Amino acid sequence: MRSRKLYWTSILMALTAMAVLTVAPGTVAAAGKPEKVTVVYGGSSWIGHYPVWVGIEKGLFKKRGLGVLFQSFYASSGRMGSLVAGDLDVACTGSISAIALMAAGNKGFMAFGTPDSYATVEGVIAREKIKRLEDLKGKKLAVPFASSAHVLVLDLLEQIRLDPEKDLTLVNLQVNEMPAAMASGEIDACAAWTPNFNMLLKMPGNHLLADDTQFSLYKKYQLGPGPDLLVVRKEFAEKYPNTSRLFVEGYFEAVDMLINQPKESAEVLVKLTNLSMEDQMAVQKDIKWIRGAEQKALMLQPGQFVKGMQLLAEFLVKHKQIDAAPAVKDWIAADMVP
Amino acid sequence: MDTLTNKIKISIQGVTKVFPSKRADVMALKNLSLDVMDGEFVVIVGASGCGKTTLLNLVAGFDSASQGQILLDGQPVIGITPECGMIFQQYALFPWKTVQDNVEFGLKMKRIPKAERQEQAARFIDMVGLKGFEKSFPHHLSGGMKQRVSIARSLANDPKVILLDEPFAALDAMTRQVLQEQLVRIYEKHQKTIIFITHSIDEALLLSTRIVVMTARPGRILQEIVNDLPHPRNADVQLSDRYMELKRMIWVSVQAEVMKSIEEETV
Amino acid sequence: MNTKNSSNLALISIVSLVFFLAAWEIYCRMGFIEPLFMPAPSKILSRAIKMLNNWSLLGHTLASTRRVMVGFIVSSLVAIPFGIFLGSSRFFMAVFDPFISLLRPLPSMSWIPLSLLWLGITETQKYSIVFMGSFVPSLLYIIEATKNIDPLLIRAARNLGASEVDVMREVILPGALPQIIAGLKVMLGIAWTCVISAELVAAREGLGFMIMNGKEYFQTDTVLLGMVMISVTVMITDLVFRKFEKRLLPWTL
Repeated sequence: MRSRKLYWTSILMALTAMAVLTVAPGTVAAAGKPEKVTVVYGGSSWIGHYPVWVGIEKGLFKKRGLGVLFQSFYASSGRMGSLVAGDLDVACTGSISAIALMAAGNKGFMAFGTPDSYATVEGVIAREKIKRLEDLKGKKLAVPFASSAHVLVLDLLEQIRLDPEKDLTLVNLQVNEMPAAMASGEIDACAAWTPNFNMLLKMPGNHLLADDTQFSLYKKYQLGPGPDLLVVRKEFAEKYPNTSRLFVEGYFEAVDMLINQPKESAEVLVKLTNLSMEDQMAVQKDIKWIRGAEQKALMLQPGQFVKGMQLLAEFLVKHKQIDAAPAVKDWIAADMVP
Repeated sequence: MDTLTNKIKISIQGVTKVFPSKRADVMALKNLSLDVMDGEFVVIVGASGCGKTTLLNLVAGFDSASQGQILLDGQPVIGITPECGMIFQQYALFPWKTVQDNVEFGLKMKRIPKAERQEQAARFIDMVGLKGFEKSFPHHLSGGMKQRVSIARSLANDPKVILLDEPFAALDAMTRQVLQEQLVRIYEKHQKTIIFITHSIDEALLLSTRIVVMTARPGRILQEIVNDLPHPRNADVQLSDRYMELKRMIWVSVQAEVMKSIEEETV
Repeated sequence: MNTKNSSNLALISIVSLVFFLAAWEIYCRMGFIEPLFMPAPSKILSRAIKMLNNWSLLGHTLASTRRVMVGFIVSSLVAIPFGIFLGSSRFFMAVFDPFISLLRPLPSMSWIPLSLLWLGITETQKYSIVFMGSFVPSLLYIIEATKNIDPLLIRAARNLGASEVDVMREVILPGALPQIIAGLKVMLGIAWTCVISAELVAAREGLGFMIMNGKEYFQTDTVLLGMVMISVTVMITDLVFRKFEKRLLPWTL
């Protein structure tokens, strides 16, 4: 329902953006006109999509002569599937999906940045009686399979030497179904991310057992179990270099705005997330935004982030989620990294 | 006839049967009365559509009369009664049961123990000459064999009256003759009261102790003839003057009724 | 049909299958199609071997088969007596008709939210989805089969002293059985579609889960393998069903 509503609002907005463009052309700041004025972006209400939403709402793309169409997808896998099928041009995705698609040998997309680092808006939430991770033994832990939370859980269990197959029951559940399942006592704990993560924490009797800061790669590389990754359809990037560059410029201007003007950003973001202003500000406080200037160090030759991604891929192989680890550095679009 | 006692087995008293229908109600039987004595073999002859089958269905209790009543041993027939065993033209054997199980059916419904009913059924299967076919399913049998199973099934249930609704009409001439002879033998041996429906005058003359001719719709009794032909009714009897006389007499009555019903249809 | 002819026809079917697989394999090897969209048969086969080696393929198949069988058998056990009862009673048919008509158009997936609330994330919830998806259609098949019984046979049975209950057990049930079994065979296929939808939510094993999880990881070969396994399992259960049918319906041979 919600994603449908978003879909129509985004189309409407894109249309207004284009209407404005025809009236007031030539306000483009950067060198080179866009070869294509519309960019189709795949998003959701997740934090990784905040910059694009802010960029659209605050006219940061419009002033570069671009209309951005925000299409909602509930899961990263659906978004990535649509991207490589040619229905989307740019997207932000959880890196698990991106790594899985690399492992499937698909060369149709490239990565060009990582907008945020979050570690405290995703984690394992448990009912009162479970005090420590070790208490999960013999209990029911809900986690959406094939997600960053799944990876976090596999890693945490490995750290305390619990076998996910034998020592406890993992229940495959989507995050939006977790509040009801926790309330009914169906499950003893769950692994979720914001905004459901915040909702679950607020429920009486629930408390945080572990978050992404306890993830083993976070300790070494400041890398969560499913860091956000900006991806572009390879054909799009090659065919429309100016459009791509202008999009990146607008995007990181929005990131700067999120850092410098959090309140103004939150005011437009509540339309995306349906959170209260207060909750929205709280979520944003937990996110560390990564500016355009920092991207090169993370992404290129191969940067710290890419090294971390490679380790994440190997972790997925070890836990039999994918067959073989791809060489992540082969999927980096150096031209587009700001 | 020495086999007849003078006890009335079935008494049909002023029976009228109307079938309601949307266009116009159909009166199948009108004020029909008939007594059948114990041990009698009554054959009812009539043009098609004269209500013969309706009458038999009323006797078996499959249907109830609009007016009048039917008594079996002085008791009114209300609802289906196993005392009047029906043999249908289409055999009505249970296709999923073997010959043995078909014949045992009535006994099983009486909750007779397995061993006993097996033995009794075997006797009747033997009687109709189907020994060796106990394990066969009906679908592997010829029409004549199926009708013999049906007769054995009815006899095994030991009804007071056996009703036969044109039982041999679907059989070829040779098979029909064999079955007719077999039925006469069974009748002579078991002394059952039989009501038999046919449109064949020859069949009526060969089998009956009394022949009842029915009118065209609405069905009433037109004529009753005591069949005094000697037994066995072999070729000589069938060529005798008395046979011809009876046949002519029945034929004249039936023909007139057939003409009437044809006229009615063409109106 | 003579045996020579039927073995010839079987040969034609095999050749056709081999030809199709070979064309598919070649098409993929020539690189006309991205493996993400359609992997080659050899890729699916190697995925199958890999999953057979770690027993996961068998585990998923058995999990789904168990769910289908439990849901389907329970639904049949309820639907057969109830359907025979409704098929032979016009009064009770009229009583239940509105509910049957209301339940009939509901796809089994629409029961997922309610079943999760009522039964939780349990196997019973999975069984209930299969049950809800197959019960009403089975019931309708059985009612129809019951109505198709030759009334003459019911008459004959009553004439031989059978009570109403005897008629149901001795005449209607066996008489309707060939049609009931034909209906149940169709229902078994429907039960499989139900189990796949049941496994889309809150499942961690089963062929439906395998397909959805394969989709999450862009393992199209796993997705196709799951689909192939459904077909193969349905084919095998169909064969078993046919054996069973022959023993149950000896008179139709």
